Amino acid sequence: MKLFTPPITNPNFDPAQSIRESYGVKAVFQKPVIVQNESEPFKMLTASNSGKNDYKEGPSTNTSGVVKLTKEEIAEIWKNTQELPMELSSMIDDFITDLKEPKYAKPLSIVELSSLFQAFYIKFDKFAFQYLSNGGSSAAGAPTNTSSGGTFFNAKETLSSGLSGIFARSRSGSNTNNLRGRRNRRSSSLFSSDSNNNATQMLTPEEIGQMMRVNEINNVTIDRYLELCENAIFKKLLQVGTAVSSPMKKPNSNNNIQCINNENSLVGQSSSEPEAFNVENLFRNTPEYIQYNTLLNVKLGGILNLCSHDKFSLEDFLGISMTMDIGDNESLFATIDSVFHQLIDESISPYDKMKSVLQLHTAMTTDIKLMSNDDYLSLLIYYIIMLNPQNLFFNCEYIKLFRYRKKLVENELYALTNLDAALTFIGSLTLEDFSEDLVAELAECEKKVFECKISDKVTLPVVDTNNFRNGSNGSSKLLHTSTEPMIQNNSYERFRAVFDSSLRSVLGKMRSYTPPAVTTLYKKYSQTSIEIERSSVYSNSSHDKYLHVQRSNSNNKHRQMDSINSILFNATMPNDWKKYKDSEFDNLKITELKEIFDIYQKLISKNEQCSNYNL
Amino acid sequence: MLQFKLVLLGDSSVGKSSIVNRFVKDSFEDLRESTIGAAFLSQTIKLNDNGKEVIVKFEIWDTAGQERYKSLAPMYYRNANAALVVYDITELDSLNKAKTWVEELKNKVGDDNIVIYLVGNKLDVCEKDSSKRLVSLEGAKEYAKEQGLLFIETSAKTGANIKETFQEIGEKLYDIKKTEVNTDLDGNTGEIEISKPSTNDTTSCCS
Repeated sequence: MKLFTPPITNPNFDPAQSIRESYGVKAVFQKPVIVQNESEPFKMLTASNSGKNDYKEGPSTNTSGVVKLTKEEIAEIWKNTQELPMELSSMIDDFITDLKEPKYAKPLSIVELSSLFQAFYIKFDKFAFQYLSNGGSSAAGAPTNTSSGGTFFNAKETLSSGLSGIFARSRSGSNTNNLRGRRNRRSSSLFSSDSNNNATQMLTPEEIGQMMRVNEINNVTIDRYLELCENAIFKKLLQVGTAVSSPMKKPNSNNNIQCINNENSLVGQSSSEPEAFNVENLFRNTPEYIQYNTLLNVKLGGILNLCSHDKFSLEDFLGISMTMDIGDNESLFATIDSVFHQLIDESISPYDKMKSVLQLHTAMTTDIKLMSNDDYLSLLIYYIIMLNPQNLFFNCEYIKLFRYRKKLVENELYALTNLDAALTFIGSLTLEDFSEDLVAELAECEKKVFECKISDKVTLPVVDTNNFRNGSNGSSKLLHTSTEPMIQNNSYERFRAVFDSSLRSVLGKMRSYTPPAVTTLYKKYSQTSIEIERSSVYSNSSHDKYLHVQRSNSNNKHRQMDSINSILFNATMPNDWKKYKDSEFDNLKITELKEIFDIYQKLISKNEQCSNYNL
Repeated sequence: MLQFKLVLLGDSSVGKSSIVNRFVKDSFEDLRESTIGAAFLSQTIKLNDNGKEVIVKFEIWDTAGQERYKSLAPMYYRNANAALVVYDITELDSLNKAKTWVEELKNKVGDDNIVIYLVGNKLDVCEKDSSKRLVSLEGAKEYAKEQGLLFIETSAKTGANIKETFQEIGEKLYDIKKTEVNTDLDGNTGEIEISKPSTNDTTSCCS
């Protein structure tokens, strides 16, 4: 049986924002800048460099009209921005308060927690942009954690993707303060007259350059804000975690304390040491990571043990050649050791930890003068084995999960991938990797360590990065995923009701009713619950079962609705209702138009019947 | 600006890093005396699309070529737009190893998602002494044609064909991206339509 369904082609569709959003998205695609990383739809035309000081650039691309700030200017901006503005700071407080809300059905896994953080970073990024484009005032009012709406779409639109934003600046002004702010700026910097006329006045290259420069400064400032944001969140969580301990856990049911658990776990067991930040505790609710780390430590110990054997040389095993200019071995060991120490013990925010990883990279590539990754990776593995930094794995995963993904790109991602690859290599060592002579000499317990790869024993939850590319829509989806069943259900009901009641759905039905409903629906759910669904780890958990039940319930319900729809449809529609499918409008006669109108009327009434039935 | 991730694959000592250094820094270090680290490198090139200048930025990821690290490669070529599979034309078995990389990429990433460029390096050695060549040009060319790969022989030492290689990849990726964007926009040409009225415009004379 063919199923009949409204064409839910875009699960991100939010009718309240439809017009603004569609223009925004279009503008992004229309501009000549097409950044591969599409998680930056609201980034400006000039935003080719993410503002990293240590970022290695090729020749300047000034010919393209791209304005770039010098390193000194960037450093100056960073120096001058030591604190987050009140508005942005309060956003972080709201987020933390929201995290503490006892609204989750069960303790959040690290992956779920990470998705909440990523969603927040996106929101913060957008709000920071708007804050700056309003000249440092949050004209649109303080954002709330529950709304991902108008404020940010305004921001997106104010931007209007670079140049078009300059040309049509007053587009998004729904707020008088906004307007005043912009006009002031406009008259002072860009336009000679402060007219309300929306005509597109030509700008001189200097003016465009100036505007680009302002944009670029804003971008750098946003980067700085984001760094401060990461710092502030984790520092605040550290404090708050100490303040709310067991008393908070008492009220309500046990089910309601999961997030607090997470926050508490940010702090070590002893509240007398508020500065001690142990990343490991964050992973408490996700035993796979703990298990992986334990096995990795066992392997590391095993390899160190092998080094004592005559028949094993770690240098030879890793192919570290003597031609490599390792320089002063001891001082280098000390340097690398201190970087590891900094990474693991002295930094809190993911950004700080990332900086340490980059420092490690820099230290090894400049001090040792390694030219290719062949040597780099070998040496990195060598240092990890020799220095055996505790909890390196957790720290690596922590950066992956909690560093703002939009910023975890290019050199940061490369350095982190190298570290990750080194740990993966160690984890995947088995007896097969060693010479037979050596294996023959090993005791049983030593052999057991290298019995199999860690990945064969433990599968880490898969974190889907694409989930965060949809901006605020993504965040709400994720939140729904991790909230109570009712909310998820409601979101679907609301979603469907919007479509059912719109003319669009009626016309859409006429156009195409072939795609099976289940596919569409399943797609929606597979997107909303992507984290959990993709993770084999959850295969036995109740959460997964719950999701599965939810999904199948919804599917069943949808199927049911479709049968009803199709019955009603067949009962009321003329048999030849599709005969105008391929007609050109210009060729239609008045009588035919009338017939089409009749069909339309019937579709409307059918739709109402469906809606009533549904209610 | 278009930005693409390009990953370098190939056995160790085929000259992957030298190719990148030649491309990015226009330098070549015979012995490993370079002060340039194995850092993440990026380079921009300019393309000409019917008179319109297009900037393409490559984000270049070097990988460790040793056999023992082979299983780690997917971590590096994940989300890559292009791959340079490098072999050494003075090493007999080198092309075969390159072939395994090509197969792996085709199996794991898929032809449609990645542009693969087969590069035979160390051309300068063979130009001096043709007896040093152990991988024939024709054989490699034939293989590349069969597999639908781009193919070139280069010398990182002299810089021969290095820029051309990246230029060609840039053009190829640009074409792919252009088609994609046009498809996404349903035939839209990619120009900014500034004249389109905005229904949200509160200051517009029509509102």
